[in-house]
Amino acid sequence: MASSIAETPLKSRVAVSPARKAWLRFRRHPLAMLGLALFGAIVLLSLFAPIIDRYPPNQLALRDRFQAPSASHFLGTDRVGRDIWSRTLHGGQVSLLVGFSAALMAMSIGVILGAVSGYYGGLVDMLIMRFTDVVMTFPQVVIILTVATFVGQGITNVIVLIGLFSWPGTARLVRGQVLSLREEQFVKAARSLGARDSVIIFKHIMPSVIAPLLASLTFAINGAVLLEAGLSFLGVGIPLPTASWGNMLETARSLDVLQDGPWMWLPPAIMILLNVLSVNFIGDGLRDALDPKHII
Amino acid sequence: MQYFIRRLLINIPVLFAVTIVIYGLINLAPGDPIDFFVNEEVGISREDLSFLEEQFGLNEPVYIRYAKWIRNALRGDLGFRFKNGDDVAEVLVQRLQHTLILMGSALAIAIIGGVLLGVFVGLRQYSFWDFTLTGLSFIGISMPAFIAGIFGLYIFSVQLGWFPSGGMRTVGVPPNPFDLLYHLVLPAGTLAILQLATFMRYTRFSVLEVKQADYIRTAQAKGIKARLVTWRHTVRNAILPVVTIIGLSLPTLVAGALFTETIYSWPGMGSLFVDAVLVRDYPMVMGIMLVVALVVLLANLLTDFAYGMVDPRIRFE
Repeated sequence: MASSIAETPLKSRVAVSPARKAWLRFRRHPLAMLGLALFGAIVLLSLFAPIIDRYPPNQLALRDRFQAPSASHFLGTDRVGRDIWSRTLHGGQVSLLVGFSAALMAMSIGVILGAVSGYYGGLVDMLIMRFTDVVMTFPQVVIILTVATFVGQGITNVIVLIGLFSWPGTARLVRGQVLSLREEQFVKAARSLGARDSVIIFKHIMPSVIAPLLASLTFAINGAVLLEAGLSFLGVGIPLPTASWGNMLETARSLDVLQDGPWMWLPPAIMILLNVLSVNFIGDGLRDALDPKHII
Repeated sequence: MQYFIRRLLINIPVLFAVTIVIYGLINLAPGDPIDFFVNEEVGISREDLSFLEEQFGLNEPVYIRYAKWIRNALRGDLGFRFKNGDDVAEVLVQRLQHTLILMGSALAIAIIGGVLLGVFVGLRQYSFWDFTLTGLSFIGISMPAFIAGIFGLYIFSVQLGWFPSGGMRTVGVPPNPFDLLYHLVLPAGTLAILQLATFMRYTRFSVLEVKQADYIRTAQAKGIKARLVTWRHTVRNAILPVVTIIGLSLPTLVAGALFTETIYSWPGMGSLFVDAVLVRDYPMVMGIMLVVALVVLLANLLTDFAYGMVDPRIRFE
């Protein structure tokens, strides 16, 4: 026998990490890959906004206002002459920034509360869960709108507000996972070796929670982008003249813009739709890739 | 029975905490509730300020004001609007009815359409219908109320002219159910899209999961007719998880209704809330938040009860 272990090529001997396996599974979903490509395109467009736009997004040009798409303005101009193409791109920067930051904030709060609640159980668990119930009772828009009227508009305010009221879903998810993992052997082993609680939670239990958490992150980003759009639509989100997809949509509240100036609100509306759609595809693909027991 | 009582009792401290949050939010936040009456340019004299404070009882400590608010609320008196002195409770009840019509229709469309389609598609995995409807459902879950609302308004009202662009009734026409339906189609339809897609996906997933269960194989092995297996076992068990998410979707429906009512000028609680909150009409805002919280808690309770009835195992946990 000529072949032996020593002669097998190195590549086929190397263990494939779970992350790589997950990526290979992800790659097999055409919709998820499409979502990734689409989302990547949107992010790239937003990142390169200052380079691909032809006019500064906030520059007024009152002589050219309310113009339909033309050679000089790809997507036309709005009521005060600002270029829509430029505003859509820069608005993407703002909306995506708000989306990511708020989602990250919400997830951080949710992970900490959920992990503590699930791990310690008892009174701590009960208190945190009742607190979560109270927060969940209010529809996000309602409570954010109320608080927004005190604290005023602004990007930071919007990010913090959305982050502060979007964590209950994550908290419950993490709590559920931690509860079931708490009784596993490896946790008992770590504890008997004298590991501190925080180490047990974050170094041992968390890696198993990452999978559903990643999928949850994608949906959190969607939620945050939509919330920002909704708040700006009602006039309490990102203040003009800074563009965001939401406050560009606000112009559609008046019937004359809705009817006679579709180029003013269709681009941001379509961008929001494509963004949400692509992130949903990615999230679905992630769910399947990270949990192969899913049958669909 | 014990299960039902337990669910009810858990919700009472939550309700209590919710009322504290509502009151605290408005009254402990920076800025005086009285700011509504203060004209920034003109300013206000010391005497007028103290007169207003006395009238609204704002010179008493917060917890006393809270207690009075709760006591009045239990009697059905939610105070008067800052804006025009209208009775908060009166306006609320009227607008609540309108919102319930909107939300109720949207929920009905979403549940009936979603569950039926979900079961239909779940039983036919990998078919043409499965791929088409699942694909469409992706678009559905990406269109929350306010996006769907704007598109709906643009396509069906502005461009095609099939439905009116707003309001609940046509001016000059005596109120009749057909006119109401005519005005209801777009708002309820666009509000329902997201929920319908969500319910459909969930039901489909549930059906697919149940189909693989051992007890289904047992039933088939026993020789029970396929149709009976489908309906009595598969579908019945698949519907269980759907009950939970129907309850969970209620806060979303309330929030969605907020945008839908603004877009379609539907005179409901959502548009009332937006108006009140933007002008800082605090008695109104508190009243609405209270009602909304009550509705959500009630819905959660009903969902828990329904779940307990549909799945007897839950009752004995």
